[in-house]
Amino acid sequence: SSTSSSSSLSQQEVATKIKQTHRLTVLLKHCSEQLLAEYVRHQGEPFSSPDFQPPAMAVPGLPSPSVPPEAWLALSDGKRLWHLAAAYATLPGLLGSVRRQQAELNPLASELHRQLEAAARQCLGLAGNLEGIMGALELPGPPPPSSSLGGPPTSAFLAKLTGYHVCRLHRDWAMRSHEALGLLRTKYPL
Amino acid sequence: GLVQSCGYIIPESPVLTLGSNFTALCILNESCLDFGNIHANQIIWKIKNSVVPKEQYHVINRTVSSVTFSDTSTLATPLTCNVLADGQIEQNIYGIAVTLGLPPEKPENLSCIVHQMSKTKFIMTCTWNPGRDTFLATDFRLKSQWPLETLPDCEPQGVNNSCGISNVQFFVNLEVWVEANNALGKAESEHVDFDPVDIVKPLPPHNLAVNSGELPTVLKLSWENQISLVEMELKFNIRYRISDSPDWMEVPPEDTASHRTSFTVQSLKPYTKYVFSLRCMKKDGLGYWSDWSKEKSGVTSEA
Repeated sequence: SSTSSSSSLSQQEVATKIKQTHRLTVLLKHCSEQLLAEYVRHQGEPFSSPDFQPPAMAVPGLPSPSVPPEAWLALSDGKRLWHLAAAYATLPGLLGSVRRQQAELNPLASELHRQLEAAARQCLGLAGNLEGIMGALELPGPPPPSSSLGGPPTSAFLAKLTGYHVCRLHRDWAMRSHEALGLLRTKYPL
Repeated sequence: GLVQSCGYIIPESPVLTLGSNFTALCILNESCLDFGNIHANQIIWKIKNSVVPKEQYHVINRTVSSVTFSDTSTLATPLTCNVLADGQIEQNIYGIAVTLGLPPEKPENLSCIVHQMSKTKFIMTCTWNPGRDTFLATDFRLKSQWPLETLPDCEPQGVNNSCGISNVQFFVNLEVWVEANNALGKAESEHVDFDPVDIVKPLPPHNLAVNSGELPTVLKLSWENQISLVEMELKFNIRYRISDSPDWMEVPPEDTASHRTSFTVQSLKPYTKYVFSLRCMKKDGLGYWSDWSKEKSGVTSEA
C-alpha cells in the first residue's frame, strides 16, 4: 500500500529513518537558531537589546525541556523520544500562531514569516518521522497535539513576548532532538 | 412559458465515450399528440441537418421513439428529434448537445526534481506523461503526502503534464502521485516515494576566484557553495582550458569527491592564462549535477 506500516520496518529501514531524522534535527537546530535571531531583530526594544534575557515562561500546551541535561541523557531512548514527540506534536501549531501574529505585528518582515513557516513545516515533518521511528521500535506514541496559543494576547508586547518564548523553546527542543537522535544513531548504525 | 415544448430527449446532454454505442429516446407530450394528431412513428432523428437512417429508429409506443448508434464516432451536435405530421412542414421537437471523448489514461513516467532557486528557496517540479488526448476537460492533480500528513494538492497551471511545489521539506519522506479526472472516468499514476533531499539540482558554486600559487604550475581556486552544509555535502567537477583553446580538461572526479570550497589545480603550464568552471551535486551521487558555474580565468606565475 502507499504507506508501509512502520512496525514492519526492517532494522536497516529503522536505521535509515533514524539517520534521516538526525539530518533533519541538524537542519532544525541550524534554522531554529537563525529564527530566534531573526525574530528578536524584528521586535524592537527591549527584545533587541543585548542583555535582554527574560525569565523562562511556560507556553500553554508546550512542555519545556526542563529535564536537566544529565537526567536527560540518563533517560531511556523511548522516554526521550516520547518527550520529543510530545513537544513536536505541539510546536507546529504554536509556530503557526506566532507567524499569524507576526503577519499583523510585522507585516513587512517577509523573511521572518518565511522562517516561521519553514520552522512549522520542519517540526511537522519531525513529528511524523519521530512517530515512524517510535512505531518501528514499538514504543508508546505521543499525546494528542494541543492546537495553538489560545485566546488573542492582551497587548502587542505580550504577543511578542509569547512569540519570543515559542521561538526560544523551539530552539531548545531542536538542540535536545539533535542530541537525542545523535545518540540513537550511534545505537542503530547503517 | 409561451411556447410549450412537445417533447424532450433523454439523456439530456450526454458525455459519451468515443466508439461506444448509444441510444436516445424522444418522448412526445400527450398534450401535443391530440393537438397535432402526431404519433411517434412520424419522428425523424437528425444529426445536425442530416437525417439518421430509419433502420436505427425503434418506435417503442405512441409517444416514444428511440434511435441507436453502434459507434458514437458518427455522432455530432446537435442530435434533434423532429416530427413530420400529415400535410404539414417538418417541426423540431427537441435537441441535445452530444459531447464525445475518452476517459483519462493512467499517467505514466512520474518523476520529480528539486530545483534550488536561491539560498533558501527550492521548488520541486514533477512531470509525467498525461496519456492520450481525451477531447474532454480533464483535471490533473499532483497529490502528495507524508507518512502521517496529507499535503495540499498541486494544480498544474496551463499544462497537464507538470506541477511545481514550493514547500519542499528535506529529510522527510514524501509520497507523490498524479490523479486525472474527467466526465468519463478517473485514473491514478504509480505512487513514487522519496526524500526530496535526494533529487536536488543545486545552484552552481559562485564567486569563483582564481589565484596563482607559489609554484608556476599551480592555480588555487576558491568559491562559495550556494546550498547550505546542513542540507547536504557536495562533490564537484572542475574543468579548465587554456584561454585560447576550446578543449576542456577535467580534474579527476575522485580528487573532488568531497565537500570543499577550494581546490589547487596542478600540472599547469607556467605563465599561461587558464579559464576555469565547476559544478556540484550531492556528495553521495543522489540528485542532479548543477549547471556549470560562471567561468573565471587566472594566469600561472612565471617559471
